[in-house]
Amino acid sequence: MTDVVEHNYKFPNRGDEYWRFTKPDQFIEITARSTQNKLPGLIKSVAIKAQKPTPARTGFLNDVSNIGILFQPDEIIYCNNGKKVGKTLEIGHLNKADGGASWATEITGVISKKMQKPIPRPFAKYCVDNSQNGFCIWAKEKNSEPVFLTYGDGFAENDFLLHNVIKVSSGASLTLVEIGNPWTGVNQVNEVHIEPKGEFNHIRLAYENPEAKSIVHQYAKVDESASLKSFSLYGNTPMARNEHIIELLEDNASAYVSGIFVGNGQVSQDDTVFIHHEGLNGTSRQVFRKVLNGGATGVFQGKIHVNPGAQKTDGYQKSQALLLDEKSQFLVKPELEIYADDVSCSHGSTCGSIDTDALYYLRSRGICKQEATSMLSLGFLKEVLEEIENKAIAEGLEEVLTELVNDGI
Amino acid sequence: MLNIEDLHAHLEEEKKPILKGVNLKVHPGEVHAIMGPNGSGKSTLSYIISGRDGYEVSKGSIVYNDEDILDLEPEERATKGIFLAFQYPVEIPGVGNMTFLRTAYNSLQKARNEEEISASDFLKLVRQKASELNIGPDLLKRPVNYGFSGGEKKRNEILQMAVLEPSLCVLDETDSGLDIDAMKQVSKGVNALRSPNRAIVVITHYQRLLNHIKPDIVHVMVDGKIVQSGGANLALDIENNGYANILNNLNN
Repeated sequence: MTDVVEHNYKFPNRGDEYWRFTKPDQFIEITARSTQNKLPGLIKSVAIKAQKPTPARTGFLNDVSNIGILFQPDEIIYCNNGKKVGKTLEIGHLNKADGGASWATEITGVISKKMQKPIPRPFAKYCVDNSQNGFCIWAKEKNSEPVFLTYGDGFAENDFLLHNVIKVSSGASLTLVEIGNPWTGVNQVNEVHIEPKGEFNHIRLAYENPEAKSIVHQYAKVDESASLKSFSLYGNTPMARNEHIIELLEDNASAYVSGIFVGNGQVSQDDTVFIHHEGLNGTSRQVFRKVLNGGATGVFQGKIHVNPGAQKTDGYQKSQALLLDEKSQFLVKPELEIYADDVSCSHGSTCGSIDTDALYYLRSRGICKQEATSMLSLGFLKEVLEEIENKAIAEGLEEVLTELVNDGI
Repeated sequence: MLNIEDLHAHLEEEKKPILKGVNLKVHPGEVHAIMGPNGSGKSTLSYIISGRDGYEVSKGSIVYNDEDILDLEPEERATKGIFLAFQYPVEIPGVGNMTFLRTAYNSLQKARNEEEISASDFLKLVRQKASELNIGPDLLKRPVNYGFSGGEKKRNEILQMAVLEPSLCVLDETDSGLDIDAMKQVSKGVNALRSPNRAIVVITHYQRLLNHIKPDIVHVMVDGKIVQSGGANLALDIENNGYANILNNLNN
């Protein structure tokens, strides 16, 4: 990246407040490489295919929904068993060269720009300014069937800037599952607007490619009585940062964010979450658990910020890690910043090794140490799956998680 | 079946001896009771038989079916048929009781080069054993011992024993924390497992459990040693007179 660009965007260094635990250098490299990787802004084709894409370990999703979308760098392929996406949903390419979908303009670049204060996020800004790629989804009404969006092979072995826009109209609902991490690296921004009484359930599955590095920002504006639930599953990613910046500006809004990381070896995963409460009766919940082995690093930085007017806020934050060896580490920065006097906020963070009594108990019944460790790790992690709204997906993910834990630990 | 000779042991972190020369011989088909005052080393003996980390054996041996087992891991001892019913069964949130039981069962099958059992066959097996112990299906669905009452935990131990069918069962204060009905139920479960091929060692403070599980031989353990052995009457004697007589005899 040229010095000029670096100068303009002021990319962070290790001394910056929220970059002490994760080195920003590799994200600067991804961002630089992805810039040379501009793709044509036009959609080549939109096809209807009979079969949905099913990357490894996502086959269970076939039983959950019929709406699958394969997203390639320059095209979007609907794979909904012959049915077009209904009138409740509009999906397209965020084609900036073409002006993009007109409904998306009120969100694109707007939500993230506002949330660049008080803490600037240069990677996100760079992505929004320069990305030629992304999808946009508009849930116009209630969508009972989840939408599975798979990043296709076209993204493989390269670095990308990816900018997605999601809108959930008043009273509408959407469950979106983002699947796969085929790239070498990605700098991604999701801008999300959930209008009053809207519901957005979001799941990110990033465990397929053990080479992928990623920095992902999800900016969400949650309106009155609207709700956001976002869950992520990361497995053995060499370097991943998952940022949530959420604003509950109006009354009775809620945001639940949760995540699991299974890491073994020289890998690192960072969840950085900022939730701003401005409306009355807001609810927020942050639940993250990580199992770390072989020198893996887990990071959690979470903030609940409550403005003076945000009375009756209920904020909860919990981050926990299980360290399976002495080289692994869990670095945390839980923060509460509260300016209202009638709120209930709590935060807790724990970090420990495996319970030796439990391990002995299982072994005394004939279960070998390795398997007993996996069972206890899985038991620790899978409680987070309860945060997922769609129970069929949560159930399927329990099997995926079992495999990840058995393979990865 | 089990031959313990001159066993001396202490905690790895402290050099203070706990077991100071335990001798014990158990044959198939026998039921032994080990009684003794608090701190005499009864539980430590059970831990060392099952292979718990944190203890160091400084002298002596434990031979089980002609094999010295002191160097074996706990899971290896389990696959050879040794089972310890815990005094304080461990709560394991997040691990389902049924999953745990089946994993344990299949681990033993695998170690013995036998076929693993299917989920449906196992369900039938467990349901039958559970109903004999008055364990409802909800207890099988919940995480291992998590939120169980004292009685439920102990019954769950006996259920594991009934399912895994070990050849040597060591019961560490299985009666503690049980009301009289629960004790009867647990005893019934244990008695159902009495067989000519299986030995049972019951560790207890009180004679009352031995009214329900009739021992062939009663041992008294004091200060890390078995100081007296006898028939079932020895337990009655202790119930009536406490350990004072035995301790006095020792001091003299």
